[in-house]
Amino acid sequence: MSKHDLQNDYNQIPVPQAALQERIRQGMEQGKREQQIKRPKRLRRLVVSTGLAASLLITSTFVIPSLATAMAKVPLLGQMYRPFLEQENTGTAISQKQLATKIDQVASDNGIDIQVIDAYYDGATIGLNLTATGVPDVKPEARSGLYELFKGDKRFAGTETMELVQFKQVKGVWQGRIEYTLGETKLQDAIRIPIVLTDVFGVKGNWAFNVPVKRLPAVEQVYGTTIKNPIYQTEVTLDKLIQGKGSTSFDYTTRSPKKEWARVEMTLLDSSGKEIIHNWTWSTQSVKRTRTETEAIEQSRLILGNYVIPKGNYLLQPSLRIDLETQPIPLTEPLPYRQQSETHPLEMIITSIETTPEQVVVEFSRNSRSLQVYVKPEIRDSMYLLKGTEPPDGREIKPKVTILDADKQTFRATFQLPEPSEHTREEYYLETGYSNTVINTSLALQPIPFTVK
Amino acid sequence: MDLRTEHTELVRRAIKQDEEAFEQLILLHSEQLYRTAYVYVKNEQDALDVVQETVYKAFISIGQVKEPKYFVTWLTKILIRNCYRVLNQQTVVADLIEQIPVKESSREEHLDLIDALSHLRKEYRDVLVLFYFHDVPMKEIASFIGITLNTVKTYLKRGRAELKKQLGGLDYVEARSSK
Repeated sequence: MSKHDLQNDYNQIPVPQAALQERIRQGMEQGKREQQIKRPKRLRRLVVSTGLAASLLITSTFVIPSLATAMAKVPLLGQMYRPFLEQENTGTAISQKQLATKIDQVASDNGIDIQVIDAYYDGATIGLNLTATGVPDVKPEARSGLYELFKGDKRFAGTETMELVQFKQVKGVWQGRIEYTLGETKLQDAIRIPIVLTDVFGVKGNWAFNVPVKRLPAVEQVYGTTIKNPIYQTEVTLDKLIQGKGSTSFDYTTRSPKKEWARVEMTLLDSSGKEIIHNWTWSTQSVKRTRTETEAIEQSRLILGNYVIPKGNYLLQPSLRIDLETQPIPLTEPLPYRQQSETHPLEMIITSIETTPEQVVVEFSRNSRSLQVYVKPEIRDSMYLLKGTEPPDGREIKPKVTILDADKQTFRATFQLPEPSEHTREEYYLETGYSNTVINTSLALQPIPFTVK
Repeated sequence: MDLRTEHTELVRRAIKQDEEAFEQLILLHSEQLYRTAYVYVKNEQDALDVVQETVYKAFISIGQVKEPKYFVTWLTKILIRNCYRVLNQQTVVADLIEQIPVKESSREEHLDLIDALSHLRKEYRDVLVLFYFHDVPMKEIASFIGITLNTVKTYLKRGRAELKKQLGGLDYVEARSSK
């Protein structure tokens, strides 16, 4: 080849059409769910009503995980609740394998009939499939039902939950699926699930059910394998695997220093290190969090819906995100000022702070690998100047960012003060955005080997 | 209605939260989005992740697009940021932890172009990708990256020269004469 055409080469990159279409669909679904929670009244009600159930997660491609999505908007804490938005749920596999139990319970109110057509209990997931008839013609975002699980049932105290189930029309029938992922609560293999819908397609009412479910045969394997990373002072233990008929779940425990929360993303690899499932949006629920005098301990459950792990040898690769608490820095702080966690390699050094009555100019460096097009908005979004040390209230001042040397990662942030001040140095404090960059910079830990028999 | 007008109309509808128009637009640019993501992250799974995240972010923030003519630049900007987010994670992971097993690449095609681009300075790569693959005018590239128009031109020139070097002296035919 004597000549090389740039665009021709580019156009020769093969495109996995089916997977691409699917990812586009999932991206849009994710966006739609995000928009759903922007309805303030409903969001407020959901968040208040769910209370302690925040540690549990409802997931389904049909269900709007509004609590999960709402929590995802909360900085730092929220990342854990961004799961399952892209992954097929357990019910997909159960339906395909025709393993759900037929139910046929109907409840009617205000002209709308809701029918529970079947239910399943697989591994650590309980699911119900519903149909709705007699529904009004409403906008797409209102094609949903607000439901409560376990309401008033003492057996499930603390795990009651309220969520939205979204309905889709399939061959002229409105269908919805509810999935509930079990937390710490141990359930019997055969139980009845109380569920009530109170708002369907925008119509208030009462549609109550008591649905019997029986757990499908599942294989549980206990491991207790721990990997430790002394640099990050963190250890992760693979406690247990539950292999259901339509899902696989991993229970694991993360121990990290008390002053920070360690969040773990998992990737499933085969024994040679080849990736099988990259859990890129953390399909994990937090089952229990405790703090001792020295440690933060978190028990988590990762459920891979629509995936039954075959026999063989595997590796579970944890990646760590560290959630730190940092305090705004006084502008009078002696320089250079170095910011670095004991357990994270990111380092930020403020080399100069110049103040005038009109502006504050901060020069700093960091050892992050963020690149030019990404770093400026990242700094703009996370660094700010505020008067006093109270949390930001919208009046914080965002900087104009200049890259001084991209290779050395040195920057200048210029803050324009709203009104001239002779006491700038004493009045203002700087939030560097260090903790934000830390949590966005994941650290891989040693993979945990395990065998599925 | 010609194609450009039709595209503009789709963007207008999408800005007004018309999901169907948004989907059509994304599908229209889907291959371009995937290929560019692939050029950066160099494996199928990460490229798909980047596209999905881009679609998600674009969907929730399409209302921010003020001028339909900047839609492509805006979308590409989101895509490239997501690529760097993934690359950033990959780099930190690779640099800081030696205990990670070497992840087998899912690449099936070994493309000279991708290797060559990945060895370019990041500034050159961004400019080449935006200019050649997304048809973003130089002025917009300058504003997007935060550099002057002359610097864009310099980066394009140097980027092409470096690419040529990377590819063992092969010349690239400029598919686009000028903007």
